[in-house]
Formats: sequence, structure tokens, C-alpha cells
Amino acid sequence: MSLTAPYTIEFPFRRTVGPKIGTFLAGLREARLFGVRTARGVLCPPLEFDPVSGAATGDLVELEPIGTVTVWTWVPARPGDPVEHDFAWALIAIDGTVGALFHCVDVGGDKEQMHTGLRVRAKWRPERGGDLRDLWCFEVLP
Amino acid sequence: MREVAVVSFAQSPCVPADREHDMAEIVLPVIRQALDACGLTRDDIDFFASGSHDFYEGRTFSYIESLDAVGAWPPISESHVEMDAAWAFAEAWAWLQLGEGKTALVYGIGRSSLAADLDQILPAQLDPYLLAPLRPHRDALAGLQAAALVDAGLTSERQLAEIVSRRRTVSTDELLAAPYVASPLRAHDVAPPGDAAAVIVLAAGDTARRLTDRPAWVRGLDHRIETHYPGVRDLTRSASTSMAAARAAELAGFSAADVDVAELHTEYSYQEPLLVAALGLKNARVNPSGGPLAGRPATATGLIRIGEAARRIMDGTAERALAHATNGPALQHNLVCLLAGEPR
Amino acid sequence: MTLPEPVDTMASPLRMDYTYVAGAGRSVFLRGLAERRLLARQCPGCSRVYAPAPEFCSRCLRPVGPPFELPGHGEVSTFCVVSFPFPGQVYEPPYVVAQIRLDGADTRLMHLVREVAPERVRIGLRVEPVWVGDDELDTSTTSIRYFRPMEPADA
Repeated sequence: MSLTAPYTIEFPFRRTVGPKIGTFLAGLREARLFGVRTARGVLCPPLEFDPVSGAATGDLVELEPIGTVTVWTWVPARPGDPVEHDFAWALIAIDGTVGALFHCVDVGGDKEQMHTGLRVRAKWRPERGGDLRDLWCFEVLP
Repeated sequence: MREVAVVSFAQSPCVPADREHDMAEIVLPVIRQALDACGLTRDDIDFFASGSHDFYEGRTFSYIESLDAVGAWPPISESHVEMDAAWAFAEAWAWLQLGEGKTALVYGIGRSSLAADLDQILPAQLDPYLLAPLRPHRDALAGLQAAALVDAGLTSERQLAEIVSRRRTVSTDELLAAPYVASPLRAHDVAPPGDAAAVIVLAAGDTARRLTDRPAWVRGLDHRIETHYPGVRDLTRSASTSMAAARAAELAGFSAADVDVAELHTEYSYQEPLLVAALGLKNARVNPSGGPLAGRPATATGLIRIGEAARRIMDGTAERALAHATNGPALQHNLVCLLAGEPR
Repeated sequence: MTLPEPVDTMASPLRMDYTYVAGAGRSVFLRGLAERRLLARQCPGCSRVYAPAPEFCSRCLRPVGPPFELPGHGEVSTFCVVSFPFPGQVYEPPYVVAQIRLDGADTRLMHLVREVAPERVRIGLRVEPVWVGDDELDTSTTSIRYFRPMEPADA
């Protein structure tokens, strides 16, 4: 009979982020949402290279953190999730952009409130450190 | 193009958690079985290629242990990929195409059970800046893709339940009553993770003809990858699968529409209608082996698709077959292999 | 619109919990250590004696024979002096890690060598295991605290 034992691997990494993502994250820290210009339109979140042409993307541009849900999946909340009740992971097309942003949509745990086409607005965390979770989740636009 | 064929395939049963065997102990009997089936010893193998992943195994350089099951003395020529062993198969096929030798043995080990919680592991394959910090659980991106397909009218929850109930003695209605894990996906829509090893032996030309009555000739093989971020992908199509299938068809002289059997690396039920459409399958029997919904041993799963497709050729039940393997979230990276009973 | 000053880095912590499966061969050796026994196994094909032993010979691929106990002493085949500090070290550098070929075995096991100044360790040094007390014995290489020179004059 084989012996078994539990163990844990833990790495406290810090990643360098580069100027584009670095500015995007700095924006989140200030509760501001940025996108990046490409030949086809603005992308949010900003990617460093255009996914279609491979060309370097252009300047960053500030956006209203408001958008439309294009796809969503309803999931049970787990420890570490943005909210404690059930919610949706969604692709949100931020107004004025092509493409979509992956994030959490919180409708207070009521799945009936979720639908494609829902208009949502970003809710920010009170304490922010410069990562994607500074954006707490998206909520229904009143 | 050089004639290269699958001459043998073996796998261990996919179990929920193997707590008895180390990596070498799991793979050795499968290597032995695959070699015995074509009358070779390990000294007859010119090249070894394997696929497994440190993040599943929980140690860096974890695959080194498996070399004790291969017999690396006298020294051997071998290679390893940190991904599904279907890509080790691609490397071995390419190596044989270069004329480096006559035989190659490909093995894949996949142990999903060593990780205490796959939700700790799987976010590590996601973009570290834009996705991983949110730590979506293991089925979230798949749920998103399945939802996109349903929204576009390309599948339905009922169709997903029908795919699952084909292999289970439970009715579609019963399946549809189960709760979601990531809507529209339910637990039974998710291929169950497990532990297993698989081995394929490849041989070239007359060597292949000597080793088995009906070699499964590899007529075409290609793989393509899409951009990573889901917000800039068309989740309702698999462009990389279509492209890989087209390129494989150019090499093969026939296409996916012409195959009798297709083994698809469907990690979720919804991927079946998506891939069938992307590949352009017409009259193919899909996943006669049961597919990953019958067991998904991590990095051995794609190699097993190739093996199962090859087996249908070798046992005479199919003239032409297709095998598909995938890697990355929501079908980001796809490999297509076309096999036939005729070498050209 | 003024752009904010970019952040340089982002925390990216990884934490993964696993189960280690020692496997059949390794478990035999580890259980021996819990009893202060250094167990070897021999390949019936090529006669190679393994300590520690896998379940099958890595050259012949044959299952190895039943375990038998070795006296425990051996010699240093090669070694290095660790001078570099890193998290998780048991002893403060400099300390010696050696490949030790136990008498009766053809393979080597890795362990610490202490009770000797690092500059006095050499290839060929005869060593013996220092076992821990009963309360610290376990199915682990730590059942041996370290190896030390057999001859006090070597220390």
C-alpha cells in the first residue's frame, strides 16, 4: 500500500506589468477605466497587441465604466469570489469599445435579473491597490 | 510526405484517483502493453515523446520520474511537452517525417486527482493580469462559451442533455432537472477528471506494415491557436479547429466530411456541436469510445482521442477517422489529425 | 485627460495544495526508515542493488526483488557545500549535501553530512547514519538526521 501525504506549493510572485497594462491598472486604482486605441476601434481591457493584426495597439483612452452584457454564465458563489451570493461571470461590452471585458455582474443573487443586453455600471472597491479587483463588480445601471 | 502510421495503442483505465502508484508505476504496464501488441521491445524504439503537466503533478520537472518506466539506459532520444500528449504525438510524427528514425513511442500521463482543488490550478493557465486575479472557477469560461452558443441558437440545454444521456441510463428530463455549475452547464455536462496513462507507437513505411496488419496511417496533422482573451474571441465558432482541419485535409487528400469516425476532445458536452460544425463532420460516428465524458485524464485525454480513432482503423471498423485534441480555456488551441487505412 | 503614472508590478500569488503519492517502491523504503532500517532491493535481471529502491529496475524494467536490510554505513560518492541561504533550510550554510553509496548498494542516496568541517569532506569519506530519537521517527528521510564520518579522526 502506498504512502501519501499532503503538501502545499506557494509562490508570492510579483509581476512586472509593462507601461500599457501598468497605466490601465493605475487607472483602476484611481477608479478610472481605460481602453486602448486600435485600427478597428477601442479595446477594453487594453491589450498590448491587436489580436487580429498583431500590430502594437495605440494610446490609452479613458472610458465611462458603463456597458452592455453580451454573454453571461450564472455561478454559485465560492470563497474568494467578488461577492458572497450567486452571481454571473460575464463579457461586458464597455460603451465606445469593440470587444468585451470579462468581469463579475452582481444582481443581488437573483438569476431572473440577469439577461443578455443588461446595462451595467462598474462598482469600485473602497480600498484599491492597482489590480483588476479594484473594480469590484458591475451592477445594474439604474 | 513520409508514410507514418499508428501501429499500437494502449491505455490504463481512467480512475477518479490513483493513490497507489507513482508516475512510473502507472505508465510502465501501459508501455509494456503497447509494445507487446506490436511485438517490439523498448530497444526497438528510436524516439520517445511524452506529455504531462507540472501543474497537475505538483512538482517541477515531474515527468522525469516517468523515464524510469521508459528505460533511459543506454541513453535514449526523447522529448517532452508540458501539455496534452497529443502534442507529443505531433512532435513524434514530425520527427519521423524528418527521417530521423523508423519508430517512435508517445506516452501521456494525466493525473487530475493530485491537486486538492482544481480551482487553484486552472486559473494559472489564464492571463495573469486580466483574468487570473478574478479567479473564475474551473468551468466558468466554458459556461460562458456554452451560454454564447445557446444564445446564438447553435445548441440548446436539451441538446446537451441528449448528448450526455446517450451514454448514461438516465433520461434527458432527469438531467435537465439538475442544478447548474455554470449556466447552462450542469455537473453532468463536465467531463469527469481522472487519472490514467496512454501510449501510442508510431512507425514509418514498411516498418509499420511489418508490425501490424492494418496500420492507421497518419494522413494529415495540424494545430492552431487563437488569441487568449475571451472578450476578443468569437466564442460561438472554433476558428482554430476549422483552420487546423483545413490544413490537415490538404495534407491528407480528404477532409473531415469524409471520415467514418471522429474522436473529439470534448471537455464539456457543449463542445460537441461546436466542434462538429467547426470540423464540417457529415456522417461520422462521434466519440464511439465514450469520449472525455466517460473519463478525462488531464494531459492524456487528447492522446487517447488519437489512439481511439486509430483503433477503429486498425480493427477495421472505419476506413477514415479524425481525432481532435484541445488545450487552454474554451477551446483556445486545437489539433486535428486525419487517419486512414490507406497510406495515400 | 491625464494618464495616471503606471504601476510597475502587480502581486500574483500562487498557492496550490496537492497530495503526494509515494508509490509502491518508495513506500517500502520509507517504511524501513521509520524502523531505522535502510532497505535495499535487487534486480533479478541485471543484479543491480538499489537503495532507495523503486518498484522495478530502471534499466531492465523488471520488478525488483524483496527488500533486505543494509548495515547502514557507506561512502561519499560526491558532495557539494551549500553556501547559499534560501527559505526552508534546516541548517545554516555552509553545510554539506552528499550522494552516499551505502555498502551493499549500487545506487546512491542523498543526505546531509555533518560532524565534520565542510573542507574536510572528501570523495571516499566513510560515513554512518545518525538516526533521530523515537519521538521523531517517521516514514521520511528525516528519520536520519544526517550522516557523519565513521572514523573520529576524519571529523
